[in-house]
Amino acid sequence: MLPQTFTPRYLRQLELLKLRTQRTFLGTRQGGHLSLKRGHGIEFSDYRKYELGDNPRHIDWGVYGRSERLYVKRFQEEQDLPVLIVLDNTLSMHAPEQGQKWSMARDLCLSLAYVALMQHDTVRLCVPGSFMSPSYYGGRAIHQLSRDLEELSPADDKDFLLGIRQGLSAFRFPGVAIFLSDFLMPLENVETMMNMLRAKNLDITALQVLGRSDVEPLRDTQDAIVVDSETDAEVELRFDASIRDEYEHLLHEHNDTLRTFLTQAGITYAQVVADEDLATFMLENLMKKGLLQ
Amino acid sequence: MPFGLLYPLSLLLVPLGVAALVWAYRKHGQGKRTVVSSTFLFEALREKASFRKKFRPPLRFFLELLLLFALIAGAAGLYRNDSGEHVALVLDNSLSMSAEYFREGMVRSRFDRAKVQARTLIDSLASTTQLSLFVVSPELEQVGESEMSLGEAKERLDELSVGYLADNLAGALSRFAYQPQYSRIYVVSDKKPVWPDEDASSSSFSFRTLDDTSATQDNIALSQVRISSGDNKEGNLTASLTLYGNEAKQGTLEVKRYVNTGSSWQTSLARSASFSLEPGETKEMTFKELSLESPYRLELTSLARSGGAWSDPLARDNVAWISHRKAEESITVVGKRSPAELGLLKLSHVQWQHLSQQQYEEQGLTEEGSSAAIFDRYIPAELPKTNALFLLPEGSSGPLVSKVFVPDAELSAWNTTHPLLSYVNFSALSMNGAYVLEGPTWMEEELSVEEGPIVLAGEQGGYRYLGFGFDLFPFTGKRAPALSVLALNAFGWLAPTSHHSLYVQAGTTLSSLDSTSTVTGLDRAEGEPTESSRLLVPDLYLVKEPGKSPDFVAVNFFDGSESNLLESGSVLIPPRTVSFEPSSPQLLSERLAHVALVLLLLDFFFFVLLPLFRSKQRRELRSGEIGGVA
Repeated sequence: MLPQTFTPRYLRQLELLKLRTQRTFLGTRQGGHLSLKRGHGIEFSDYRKYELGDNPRHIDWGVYGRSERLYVKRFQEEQDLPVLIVLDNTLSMHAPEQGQKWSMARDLCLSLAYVALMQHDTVRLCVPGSFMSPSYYGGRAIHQLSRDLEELSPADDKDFLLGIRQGLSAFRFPGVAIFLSDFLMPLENVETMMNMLRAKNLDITALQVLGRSDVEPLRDTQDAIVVDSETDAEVELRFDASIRDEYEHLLHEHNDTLRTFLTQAGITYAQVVADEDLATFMLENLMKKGLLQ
Repeated sequence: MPFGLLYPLSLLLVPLGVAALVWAYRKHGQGKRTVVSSTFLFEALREKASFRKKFRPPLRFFLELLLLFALIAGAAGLYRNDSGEHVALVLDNSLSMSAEYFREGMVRSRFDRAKVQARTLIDSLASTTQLSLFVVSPELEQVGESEMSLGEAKERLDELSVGYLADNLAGALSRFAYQPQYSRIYVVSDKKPVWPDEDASSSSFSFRTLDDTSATQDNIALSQVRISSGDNKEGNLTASLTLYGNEAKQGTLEVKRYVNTGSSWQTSLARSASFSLEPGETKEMTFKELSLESPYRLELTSLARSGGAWSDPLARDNVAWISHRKAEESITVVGKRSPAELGLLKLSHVQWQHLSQQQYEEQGLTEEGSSAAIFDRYIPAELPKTNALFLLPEGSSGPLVSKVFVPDAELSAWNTTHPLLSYVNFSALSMNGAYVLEGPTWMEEELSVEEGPIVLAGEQGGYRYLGFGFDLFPFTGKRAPALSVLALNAFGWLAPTSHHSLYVQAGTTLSSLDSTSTVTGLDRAEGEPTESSRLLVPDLYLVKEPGKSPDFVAVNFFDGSESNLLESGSVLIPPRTVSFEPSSPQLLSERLAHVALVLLLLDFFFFVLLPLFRSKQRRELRSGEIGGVA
């Protein structure tokens, strides 16, 4: 059962979309993306001298007429795209907006997966620390994916890196990796995670999902003891106007640093706040960012 | 102190309020446990925004503390005496204050000393003090504006001069007892204060007595003049002289006759006689067979004025005037007893009429121009339209009734300032019992026994009324001197407009005069203002009324209490029934309310609106990055 946000209209809009990659990858089966594999296809690739065993139908007789040499035409094959979606399921994604932030991350995950599945791509879901899915094929698999997501419970962040490593080890072919997280962690941690993905030669997109309270924390509270959702660490704060501004400045700075790092690493970056409209973000923002076409 | 509090106990709210504010801030800073995604960004703020380190109140705390102080100060009734402390300065300017003495080669009067005392007192006051200046003779009178600066008050002091009459210091002070606007009342007088309780310092009154009982204050005074045994042409002029002193004195009494020289009135010596007085002695000097056609001036001379072994310090009581004219008006006696039975025929300058009770009720006072009436043991249903003396009014109804009879009447109180009781020796007053009177509220008690008033006096509808609870008559002269003096005083007070009395007491108003009449003091120095109809200064006055021949009015002031410089008397300081109230305490409360409002607005603007506005601005600036496409 898909979430309520997945209306038929929204699904039809998603069906028109396609994941776009910066590079071409080898697929495992026929699909909708140009592959590194040469062979049958529509898109002309190059010529090669005819060799015994080549299908004579691929001989370019025009070239033979002009040069009396036998050349065969080669085409880029269109194969499926291996897509790995890494979904942050730690407690920070569940706090504190009564699941709003997690819902946005989950819906984004489902939306992107649906786009990929409808293009006959292979989708695997890695929820570090709690779940590693098998490969999903075909549009109907979205329901299985949805069920799998529903059954998830918040994961412990201690197993986060290990979970990513395990997920990557099961992901044998290079392809597209979409990382969904709030990235509210020290940049070193982000770098570590991203480098693991980069090492797998993946075309990476990082989607930062923030809650409204991450952007404007403690709106109705001046003095507070803020508790880390994952570590239970406490910080006592008088959150007055100046400190509020200071926090906003820090968040802004953190995001800037994150963006700079990701850009330099060739990683596409987009940010969404949980209370924004999902469809708008998918159909407009991500298209502008080049993840979808 | 320019500042004060109406309700000082309200200051107890300060520690309570501050404690509550601190508690509120600390409580506010307890913080609510809030789970956030991650605290790694908050960690960077820990140092800046921690609240548990030490109570470090923010700027807003101090702003609200100021607000609290403003509110509590307002509640406590903080006032700043914009006009400073309000002080009343009362100067005794009665006759005795004109007594002169020699000091350091200079002649000074008690009033000069009073002014010096007043200046010293003014100099000791705070510069913000507002001062009201009063004199008390003949009545309490404010000099200058009601609130003067100290400089203005000093200037006004220079303009003050001593009067010729007695003071009403006790009455004046009793009025201050009901006036709450003065924080302190300073009195400078030659009288001694009698404090109502032992602790004089707790009183609002400060009394400066100009104490001087030295021999240089021995004073001889003319204490009475009269003409007796007169037949309208010649008579015997008798003057009483009293020595208020400790040593025997000698002198000369001159009697001068006024002579019309055509353009002015001059005096020529008619008689003179030497006298010698023992301390405390009153001597009568009679000049026989004097022509009564002219008025006379009596003057004590040969009293050393300066440089001699003795000088008379008070010159104003050394002169008296007397004028004897044919009586043209009459006094009507209503009652069973005739004027002869009352012994009134001895008073030859008055024409006496007699009406029985029945005649009065039938025809009223028929005599035109009757200056007064005596109702003897009878009270009419309505007050007569003339000055009247009611003797032992009989009946249980009417404007004046006799109530309780007191057989052994002993005087318990008397009004020393009323001319009725001038020179009355109360110890010699023999009444053979008296009735306690009950009269209308406008009649004041003049003489009282324990049970109530036995003499009432008052003015109503332009007429004077006197009530006696004991019998004044028969008039026997010297045989009953106290009663006789009382009777003469009564006639003098009841018929003050009569120009034909021998003399009138200073302060008398010539109410019968119209605006075209002129009253001129003959012994005035040139340039002195013409006297008004109220004769405040002893003198011989020439009264000119249209259609009438010029007439003389002799005005004297005889008051032993003023002439006796060695015992200037005492003043009972009244207990103050009201506490001092600052003039405008609300004024600062209003300002404090304004300050509190401004602080509240500042608090709202700087700590609510401005942060909201700034946050909104920043959010708008970053809206393209947070949640948008970066």
